[in-house]
Amino acid sequence: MRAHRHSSSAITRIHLTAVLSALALSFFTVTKAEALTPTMTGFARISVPLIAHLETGTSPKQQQEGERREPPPVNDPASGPVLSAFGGSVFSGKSAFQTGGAIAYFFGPKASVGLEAEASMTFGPGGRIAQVMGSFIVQTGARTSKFVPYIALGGGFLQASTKFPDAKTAIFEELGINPEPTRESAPFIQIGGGLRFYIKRNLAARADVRVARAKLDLDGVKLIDSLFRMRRVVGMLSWEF
Amino acid sequence: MKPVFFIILLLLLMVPGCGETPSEFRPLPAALGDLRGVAMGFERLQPLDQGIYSAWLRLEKGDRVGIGTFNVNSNGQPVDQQGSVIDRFTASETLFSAISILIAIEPTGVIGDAPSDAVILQGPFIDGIATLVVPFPAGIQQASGSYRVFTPTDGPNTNEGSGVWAINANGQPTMTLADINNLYMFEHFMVINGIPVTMGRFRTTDTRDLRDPWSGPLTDAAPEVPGEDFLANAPAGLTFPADLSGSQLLVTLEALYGDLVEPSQLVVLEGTLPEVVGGEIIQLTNQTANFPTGTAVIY
Repeated sequence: MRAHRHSSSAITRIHLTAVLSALALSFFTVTKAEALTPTMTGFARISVPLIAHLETGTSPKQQQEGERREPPPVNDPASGPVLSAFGGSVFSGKSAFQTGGAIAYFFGPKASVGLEAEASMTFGPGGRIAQVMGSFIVQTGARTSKFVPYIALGGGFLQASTKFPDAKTAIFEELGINPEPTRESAPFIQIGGGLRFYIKRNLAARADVRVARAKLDLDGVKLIDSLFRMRRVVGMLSWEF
Repeated sequence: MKPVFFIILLLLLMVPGCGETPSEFRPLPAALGDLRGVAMGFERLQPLDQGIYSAWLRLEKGDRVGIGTFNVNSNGQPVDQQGSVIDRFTASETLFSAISILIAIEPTGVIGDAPSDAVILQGPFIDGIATLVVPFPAGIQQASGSYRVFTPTDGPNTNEGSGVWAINANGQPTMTLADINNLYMFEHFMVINGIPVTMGRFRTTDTRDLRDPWSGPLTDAAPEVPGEDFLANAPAGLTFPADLSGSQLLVTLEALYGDLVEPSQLVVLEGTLPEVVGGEIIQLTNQTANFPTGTAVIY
């Protein structure tokens, strides 16, 4: 038992370190990307259009109007809507298979933030879980690299149903036991993160890790004792359009 | 989003103590295979007046998990000390991959880090269901035997109705028992006027048993088989030389260690003595079909 506690503690420290590292990496990369964008002040701000005029023979005003008429093409592959399909494992008790789909929308010129809605079905050894959840996502911005780490935070709602094999049901009847309920709904909160890898401009492979706490409806139990821990790791394919 | 809220949420998700699987049955953990409960039922398992039963599961990785102590009621249901039926025994870790279960008798009523050696039932889990049987020696179901009534330890023609020995008139051993395993020894008892009196423990049927507390002075005259004369040192409530007429003769399996309850409920052979004067042959019948059984299911 003590070993189990130590093991849980170690896993917690690893979780904490991983999430904080992802957070730090995200902010570092965003800051770095913004720093690389050419912004000029003072005399340089005036001199650059002047030099351009001398080189091209067009006035700065004409050049500016030209840029207005023909905006540069958006080549940020992470901005806009993103559709994903995924499959992976939920690790609580035994490993259970989870599959589903998600749709997200990323905002801003660097697509640094986004909202994602997800629906999934988990096929466990003792039953099924249908779940929907939403996530607020902060990422480094897809313009900077083919690799885009992100962190996610959100919540959702699940409905679990369990069904015992006939052999167990027969023994329950024999023993006069009736395991109830066989179905329950629960809200949950979740946090996690992951990494996108752009295979093509609008196609990315994605690894996603989440930890969640579901609030079970238990009588006479404190809130903190009514939370059930779930973890999942999934692989995703994301299309941007 | 305020940073404080974010930090609280983060801590809530990270603290391992927050998020333990509940001890009561819930569909969400069950669907994911996080099963921590066991239900049990028994047949012919006798309530204990002394000591208590304990239940232990062996997990996939070899760890052993105790899930609690209990007694049984007349319906074979496990009950707690107050007599309330225990529907579900719970463990602090998932039992989904448990491979076996054993029930032991804790003679002192206190459970330790491991079960006592007095194992009474055990069985492997197959798809979360275990059929519990006595881990008896192979071949015990074919055990048979008889005892001859006579008293060799006080000389011939003296108190001949006060002793029994597992030997026939030709001096040949009469019991056929299985080879004993490392959990049990055989012990034979004479229940005189309702009081069980041990005749000693033994491993084989062609040697003397380990005790002769009630026999007469001529111990060298005793045959090389299990048996006893009830002639001296009578226990409280009895008078020796004993009249064994109507007494019950039992051969039982007794736990090798930690066995405080005698005779055990694992009666292998049983016979009742008629009116005896000496020389009678008491045929014993096999009782292993009446050994206790049980069922355990993980849920």
